[in-house]
Amino acid sequence: MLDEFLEILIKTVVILAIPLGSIPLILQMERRGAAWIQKRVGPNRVGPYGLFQPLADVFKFLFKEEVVPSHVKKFFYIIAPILSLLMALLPLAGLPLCAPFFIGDQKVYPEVFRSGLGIFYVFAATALGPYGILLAGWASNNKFSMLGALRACAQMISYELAISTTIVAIFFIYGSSDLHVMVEKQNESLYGIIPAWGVFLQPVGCVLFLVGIFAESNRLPFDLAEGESELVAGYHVEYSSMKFALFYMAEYVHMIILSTLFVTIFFGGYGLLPGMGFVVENLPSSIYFLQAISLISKVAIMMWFFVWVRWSIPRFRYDQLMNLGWKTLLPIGLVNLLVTVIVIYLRSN
Amino acid sequence: MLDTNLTDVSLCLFAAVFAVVVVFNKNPVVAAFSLLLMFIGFGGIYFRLGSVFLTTIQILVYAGAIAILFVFVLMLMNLEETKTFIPTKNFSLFAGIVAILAMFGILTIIIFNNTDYLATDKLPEVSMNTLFTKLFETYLVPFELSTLLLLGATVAVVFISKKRIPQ
Repeated sequence: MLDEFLEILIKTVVILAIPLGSIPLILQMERRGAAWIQKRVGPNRVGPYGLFQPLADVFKFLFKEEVVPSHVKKFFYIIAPILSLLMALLPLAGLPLCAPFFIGDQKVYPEVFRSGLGIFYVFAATALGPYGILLAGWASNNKFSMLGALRACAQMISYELAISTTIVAIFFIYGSSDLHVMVEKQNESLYGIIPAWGVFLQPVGCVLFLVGIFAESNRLPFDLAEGESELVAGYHVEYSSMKFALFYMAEYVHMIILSTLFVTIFFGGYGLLPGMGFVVENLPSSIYFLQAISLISKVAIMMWFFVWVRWSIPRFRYDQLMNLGWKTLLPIGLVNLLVTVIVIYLRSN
Repeated sequence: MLDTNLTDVSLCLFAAVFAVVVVFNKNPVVAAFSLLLMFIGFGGIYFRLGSVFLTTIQILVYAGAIAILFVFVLMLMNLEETKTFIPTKNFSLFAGIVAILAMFGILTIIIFNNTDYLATDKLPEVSMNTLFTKLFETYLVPFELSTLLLLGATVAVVFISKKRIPQ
């Protein structure tokens, strides 16, 4: 009983500490990356190379005055940011950081919540994401917030459909919803040359999922929820200090989780990066650590990709976004699913 | 026997309280959010009964899709707080009470006549394989018929809400 409790506690702390602890680093990378792409200097005053800038931000958020505007619905206004971060953190419980390992003769799974459903649990928990944003927009009692929240919600629901067609196709290919099984199958090699990553088996699905991630996490080019030229700042106009920081964190956690899911099903997940096999041969006990490092590196590359796209592609118009989601991505996703099913059926006969 | 503990009782209470809030709250958006919490409570009950699959589907479909559409549409229409949802006319009130009592009675009769089928122990963990083999082999025809029913309902809704073009 106590052992079980301790096990869950340790897993929870680790799985929460890694994404929450890396948010300041991602922020700094985003700022310096943006500056680099735009040929600016970027924040370089606080600490060496400006590395303490996120720390300064944290102090700013903590010491700013808590303002609650008089026209908001107070109870919902206060719980909305908390709910937002909470819903964003939920899917983390189902994501594996490394392969199941043994302590003594007991098999330990790295996920906090281990069920037979794997990817479906993660997806179900992600589906609760829009509630925090909707509640914030409504509780702010402000037209800009309301419009931002409605836009964010409509766009998340629309692109969830395109993503779900990809997830079903992936589920058919690997024949299991368990993320560990998916990673194991991806580490086999295809024709002896390239790894059997999902991206080679499902190239169309991979592109759909990638576009879906950007729309789901409300990032440019799909950040119409906070289009500042039209809506000031969208659903978090009325929020300041730490309450605003919670929304900010929720957005980054959302990005991290969707990227982790993306690399897990399309880029071999915690499968070792090339060159690491040499270390494992000499030091077999380091494999789980190296697996976690591999996964985190892949997610870090995705995070850089987010920054890259942000400063390369301008924002869509809202009708273009909706047309892309419903009239382009969804039909492509359905056709992709149909082709996948037919190929699997023909190969099994 | 199913060992009922504090968690089960509080989950049932959680779902029941929010079900009552859905009916009696004056603010439609709050009612819709209560509906969401009620769905999540149901998910918790399924989880305690031992079906992780049903819990996930409950969260994915009901909480993640249906409740969100309710909230979304209510916000889009920007409804003012209504006075009350309880019918004030004597006849409607009377009919409502009769309907509630009748439904309660029917459910009680059904449950107490079929005690053999009640879960007396935790459900065995059903794998998705067995579940979908049943759904797509044993019960294929009823399953497909139900999808046809939904399709028909969708077409009917489009037809009813369509603006009539004058001849």
